[in-house]
Amino acid sequence: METAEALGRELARLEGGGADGSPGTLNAIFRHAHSLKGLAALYGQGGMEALAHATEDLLDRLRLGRARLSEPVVDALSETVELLQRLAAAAEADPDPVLRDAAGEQVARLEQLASGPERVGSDPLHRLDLSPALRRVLTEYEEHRLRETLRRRALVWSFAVRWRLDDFDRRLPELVERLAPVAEVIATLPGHAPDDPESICFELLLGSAAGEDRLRAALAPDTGQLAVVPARKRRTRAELPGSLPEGPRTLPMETEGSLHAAARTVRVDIGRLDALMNAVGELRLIAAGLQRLADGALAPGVRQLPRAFGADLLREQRQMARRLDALQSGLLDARMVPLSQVFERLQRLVRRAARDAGKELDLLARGGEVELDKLIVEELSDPLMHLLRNAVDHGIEAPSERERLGKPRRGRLSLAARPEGSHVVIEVRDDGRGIDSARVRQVAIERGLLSAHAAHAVTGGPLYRLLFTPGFSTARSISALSGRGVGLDVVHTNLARLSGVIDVESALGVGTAFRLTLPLTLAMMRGLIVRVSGRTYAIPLNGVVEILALGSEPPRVVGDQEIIAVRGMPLLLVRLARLFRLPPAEAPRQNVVVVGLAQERVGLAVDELLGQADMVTKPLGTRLGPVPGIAAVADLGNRRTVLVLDVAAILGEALKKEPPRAARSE
Amino acid sequence: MDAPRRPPSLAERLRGFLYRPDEELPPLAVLPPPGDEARVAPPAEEVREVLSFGLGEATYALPLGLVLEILRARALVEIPRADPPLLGVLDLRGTVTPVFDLALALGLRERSLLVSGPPEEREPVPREARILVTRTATGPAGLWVDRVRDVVRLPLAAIEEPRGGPAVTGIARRGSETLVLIDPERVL
Repeated sequence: METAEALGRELARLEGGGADGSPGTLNAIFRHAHSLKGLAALYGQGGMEALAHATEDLLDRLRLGRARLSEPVVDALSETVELLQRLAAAAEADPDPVLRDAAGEQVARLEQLASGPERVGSDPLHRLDLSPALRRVLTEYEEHRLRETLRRRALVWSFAVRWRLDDFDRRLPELVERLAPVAEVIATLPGHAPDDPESICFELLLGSAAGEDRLRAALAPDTGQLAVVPARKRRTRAELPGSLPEGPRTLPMETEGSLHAAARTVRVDIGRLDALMNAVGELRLIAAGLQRLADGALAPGVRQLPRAFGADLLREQRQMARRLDALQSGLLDARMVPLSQVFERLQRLVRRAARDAGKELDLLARGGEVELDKLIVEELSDPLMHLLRNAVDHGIEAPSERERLGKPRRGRLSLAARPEGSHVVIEVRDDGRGIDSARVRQVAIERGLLSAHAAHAVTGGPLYRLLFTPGFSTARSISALSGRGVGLDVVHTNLARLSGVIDVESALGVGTAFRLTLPLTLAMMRGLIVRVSGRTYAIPLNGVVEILALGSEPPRVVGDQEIIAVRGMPLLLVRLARLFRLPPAEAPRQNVVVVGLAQERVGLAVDELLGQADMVTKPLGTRLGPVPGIAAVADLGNRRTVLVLDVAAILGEALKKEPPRAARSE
Repeated sequence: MDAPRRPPSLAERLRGFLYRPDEELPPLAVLPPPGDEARVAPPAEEVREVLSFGLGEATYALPLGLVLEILRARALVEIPRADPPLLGVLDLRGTVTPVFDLALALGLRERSLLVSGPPEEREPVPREARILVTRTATGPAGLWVDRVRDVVRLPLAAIEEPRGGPAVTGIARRGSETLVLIDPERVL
């Protein structure tokens, strides 16, 4: 499954890079297709194997320049990747006959593309004056790059160099990098045996369109024999390469990391990381125990133990705590993955959605390098997919309509991520028609979500929030892609699960932006520790807006709800003790923790604020299932376990009873 | 502390150095085909091992294989608005494990124990009380019992047909004592 995804990722680069795929990208794609074929064979997935094989075949021909990389080829490859992923997902169950047929058809299509006319013409390589011995050791790929160099009417150079044995493996990559702007290193061949046992000789074949001066400048400080490998002129062409009429065109360079770089990452089951994380938690408890012992031994009046023992114990304990910190942060880092994992999948999807919807658009993805907890990245793909599909289907207008409106024919869709403190903000922005407030009000009234009177009072954020209500959809036609108004509802639910926040900004005729704010990790969290009726709870700090003291003025009671005024604005007050049906405590002075998600705010009345803490959170577990109002369990150290409040659920529960929103039949 | 790093041999360095794209493709990891784990058929059993424990005056038992761990009972973390028989949860080395009042679930007690929440609202935990952490289809679940007796090897023939509630899987006699065999999955 991941191999298929990596394949898709490289393919997206190919699509982005125009029709002229760089050799590095093609090689990478080819490698992924090859491993996929092997894996499919290993698991006896016949259909998948045939498909992967056909893909590999086609890619091999592209790589060696025997087939041309054209739009239909890219499309076919892109669809193949999707098919492969579906096959991989279905691999567990019985192979679906429909899927199997689709795979068969795709194989035929790929084979047809691969068997397209080969490039004809005499092999330009014969014109190159290379010794037969050298010709023999060249691989097919190297031959292809040499041909390509000649085809571009660049020169092939040979560079004989001698390096010292102790640093040659560093010198070459450095040289390749220095040469990148002016030349491509096509082959690295062992050179003549050196007379000096401390050094080693190599012969490099370079392809370059730059003149000798520039080449020499780039080669410095490495010195050696540089010579043009002469190529006999084609009879019809008079001009010599070297002075190119095309201008300073550089050759595509292989900047792609080799296989060795790929091997530096290790895939780890997230469950194993969790287990390690728990081990750290246990160690922490031991550390706390050690500290208690040390404190006990150091206490005045203790006779039995020498005080030095206590001091030693304390020192050891501090050492251990430091190591634990390092281990814990290392583990958290290991959970982080770049957002590009999901961005690339989405780019492919948008491309297809746009084609199916007959829209013309450019998708700009930025910030793919921003890293987030693996679990969050995985959960994000659904909400982002819905937002992008919505933008393609309902946001961006048809090309003709855009022209009529005086907008550029091609729509612009952007997907951008940026870190912001301990959070990441992801924005999906389009330059389409924007959200029609009047239409939203109308639907809200039709669906009985708002009274006509209330609807006209609502604007901006609270109005847009209605879009996230289950079943709400303003699109006049239901497209096959966006489904039936379930999209934004899913977005909201998924985000709440990740303690994320969504904001909407829109201008009619100008466009819409959805902004998602997410925590960096779910495993570690900063919380506000509060006390309610003798119980301790943690409130995720990212949900806390502000903290107030409950004034002497009694709250206004409306129905069974209490409302306080904060800077003149009404705020719904939720007494946690009452919500959780706890025995009331006689706290002299209550505090109000104002929590918020998106545009919603409520005040949580608590007895006491105990401070802030960094907590390692754990899910409630499968046996218990969801507990209303509780998101997780956290360990505060010294064997104190507290419950972490689910701000989104408490908000939802409190606001469900809010008078302005007409009661829906439930 | 660190062992001195051995510099890579010349051969190793050369191998990386002279690497060319199409010489070699990554070797494939050899994975065992799925579903081929060694499966050992359980031998035909004549006896059944159960763990017997006391609830009030009666003695109950559950299959020993389902018991993951026996813990000395302790105060639990309270779950707000929990429905009985859920008593609370405990953090079992990182796995949040719910603990249920077995006596209440079996209808042997009217009122749930108060073993979670702040100290002043709790009743003291009886010295003999234990929590049996059992395996269930949806993860570990703790069962609060009054006391643990012992492991009993019951000949299959000695187990009688169940009676007395859906959770009971059989009745066995041992001397003057009656053992009620239960299925934790069905109790909860």
